[in-house]
Amino acid sequence: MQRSPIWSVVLLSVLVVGCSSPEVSSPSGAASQATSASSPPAEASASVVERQTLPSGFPILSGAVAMVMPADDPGLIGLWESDQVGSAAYDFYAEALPVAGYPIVGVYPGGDVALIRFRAPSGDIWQVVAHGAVDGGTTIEVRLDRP
Amino acid sequence: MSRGARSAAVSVLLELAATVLSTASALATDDYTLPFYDPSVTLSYGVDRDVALNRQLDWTGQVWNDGLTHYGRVYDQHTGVDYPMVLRSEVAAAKDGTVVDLEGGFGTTQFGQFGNFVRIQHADGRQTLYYHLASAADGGIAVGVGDAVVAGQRIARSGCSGNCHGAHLHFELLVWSTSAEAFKPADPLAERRWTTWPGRVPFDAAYVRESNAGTEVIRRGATITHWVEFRNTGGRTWRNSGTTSRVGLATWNPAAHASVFRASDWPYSWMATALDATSVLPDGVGRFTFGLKGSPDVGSYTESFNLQSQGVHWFDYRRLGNYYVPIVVSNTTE
Repeated sequence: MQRSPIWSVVLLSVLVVGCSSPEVSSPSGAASQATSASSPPAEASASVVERQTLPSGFPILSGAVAMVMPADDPGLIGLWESDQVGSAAYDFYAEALPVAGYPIVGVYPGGDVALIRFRAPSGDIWQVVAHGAVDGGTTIEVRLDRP
Repeated sequence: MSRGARSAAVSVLLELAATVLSTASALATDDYTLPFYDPSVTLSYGVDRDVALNRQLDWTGQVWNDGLTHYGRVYDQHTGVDYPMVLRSEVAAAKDGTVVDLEGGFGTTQFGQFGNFVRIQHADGRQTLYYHLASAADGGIAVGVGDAVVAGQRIARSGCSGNCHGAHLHFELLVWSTSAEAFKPADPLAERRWTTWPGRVPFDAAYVRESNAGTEVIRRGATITHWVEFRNTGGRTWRNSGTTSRVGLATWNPAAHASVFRASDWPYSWMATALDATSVLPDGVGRFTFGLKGSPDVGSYTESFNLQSQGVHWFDYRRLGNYYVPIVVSNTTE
């Protein structure tokens, strides 16, 4: 007799939610991780490029510093650099995005880079991309989805 | 009694897996298999098959001249295949071989230039590398240098040590380069001659049917014969002898308990039988025939079973489903 494996339901739920790793958190403490969003400054120029803006309250890794976004990359919505390294940014967003109301649709951890695809309030898919910065920290991008 | 109806969620999961694995059906081999047990594991990034900077050739053959990150495909200069895994997931040897190098001294999530790994030499001259593993102190390394390992054997647990952004397994295939006189990364996804893609985990099965889907009524002290068939949905051939890939039907819940229904044909108190046929290839159906003896006490019982590759690994009952036989032991002579 074959009985339905109820754990598969749990497994499916876990897969949908994504693979957050609660044991890895930033040194400053999880409670202070999320700060109110403010869009990183746009490049001071006469460019007419329009880019989407981050919704208020979008989670930002504690200590991340907003960077100037290049005008020739209109798909970029947010850009930060953080002193934290490794999985800190990935783990933070894997946990914080669903809590903040941004359902995750795919997680892509990797060696040099990690990427999380999530649904924005508009219904569009956005990405958060974390990769090693030149100076040893982590560069974090939020951008429109792209293949 | 109705044959086990699967839940909708499970059906969805299986259909998803079938879709993902459909390409592999015709390609399934008994050679290299995926280095983990969970077929729901997906691909983050494959090998960059173009060594030029800012030019990527992914596993589908598509070229990207942007140096950017393309999820599910590639990122620039990537030398292996990344599989997302929660920390401490089981990592399996992709093929028989010998452990030739390992490192387990870094923390499970310790970021840096170097991380924990196991490297295995295979008889075909190739090597496989399993990287970003959990620390040895955290149970991340299950083998030692010089150990012989068999395909599907658990060799490690995953982590995020080294240059790692998010827990995953970096699996790398290395081929000897005579020009470089060194092992160089190759693309396991592109080498379809001997590696399946999307690939299969070593051991997996799906229930097919059994001799009696209802309750077996056994007269006290008597023995009846029961059989059940499973489809080999894993990547390794099932065998009924030897020490590698020998598949048997053993008691479950708890695992390997001594059964009161053991008949004289059981090889062990906890194993009802090995595979009937000499071997069953991937996609084939294997039958397991065994006796059930009426226990001393009259009553209603269930006996649970799971498949096990001898000395290697229990099949994942969450996917296989809990296979059990309802049994009524009676006093009647019929």
